[in-house]
Amino acid sequence: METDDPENAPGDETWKAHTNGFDRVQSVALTVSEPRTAGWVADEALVAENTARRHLQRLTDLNVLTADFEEGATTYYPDPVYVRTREVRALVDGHDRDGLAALAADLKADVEAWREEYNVTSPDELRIQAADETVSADETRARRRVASDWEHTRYRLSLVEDALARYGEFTDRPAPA
Amino acid sequence: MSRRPGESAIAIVTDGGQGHDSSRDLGQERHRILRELRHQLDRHPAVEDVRGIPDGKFRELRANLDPAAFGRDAEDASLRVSWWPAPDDPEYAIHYSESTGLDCGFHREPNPHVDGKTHYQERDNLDENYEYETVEVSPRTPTRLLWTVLDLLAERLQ
Repeated sequence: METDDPENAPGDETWKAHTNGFDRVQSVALTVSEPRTAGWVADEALVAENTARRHLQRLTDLNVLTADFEEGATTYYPDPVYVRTREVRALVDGHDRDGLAALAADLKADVEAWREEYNVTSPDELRIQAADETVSADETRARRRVASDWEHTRYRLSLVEDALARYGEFTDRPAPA
Repeated sequence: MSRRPGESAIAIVTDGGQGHDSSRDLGQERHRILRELRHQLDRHPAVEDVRGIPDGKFRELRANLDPAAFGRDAEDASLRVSWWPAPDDPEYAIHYSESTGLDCGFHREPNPHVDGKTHYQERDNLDENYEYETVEVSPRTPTRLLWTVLDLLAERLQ
């Protein structure tokens, strides 16, 4: 559901006091669920539309966002390569190779446990199961939560596997001459 | 409990958008949103530190807060932030707890005690039942909504 944006929400002034316009545009643009126009981002990031457009173009030039022009408007969406790369970087910075291998095993074990507990092969199947009318409201909620955890874990595991596959390349620095 | 001045009756929550694209990777979306929420918490003046939990799995955020920033005379306070994108519209929980035993938060998720998805819940200690109140919180995007909810929490706690 979506309605007009309120002009002022509680917290807006604190947000503006502790961030700049570029920070807010970036944070809004990196959390959207579908491509959005500069005007839409401007409303949520509390900046003028021209300011939002300028920052969005800069973020597109930096490959943080992708831009698409259709039906007379440019829309912006997070660049999946950027999103993946920064997470792989965080994983490599925060773990050694053994730590990443242990994390991958742990994430795989979580997925395996969900497969067995719910007797399904994917989070989509679990969402379908959760919507079954014979399932109680509490159990529906629990299964939707697990489906979300499963989707998140599947993505997180793909990041850890990327980090492991190229760990040497990502951590290698030439010795000083 | 009644609606406080800061809580808008205008709109419902978040960038759910049309949101029915089956190509959406909800796992990536949840990860990406949590990452941005973490960056925002790092900038909030009441936040002392923030990390993803469980360790390495990054399924939600836990921040240590300065209770005095919320007008509270507690030794410690923390905030838990959960975000669950879904094919229809997202759900979330932004929940404050402190060492006195009090905990409260704004949640968007079905709950048998309230009508509608978005509500505020509060209890003075673990032995009590929560009191629930239906509310509406207006921002559509996760990061702006986080700052709104932190402001609303401060209002409730002071």
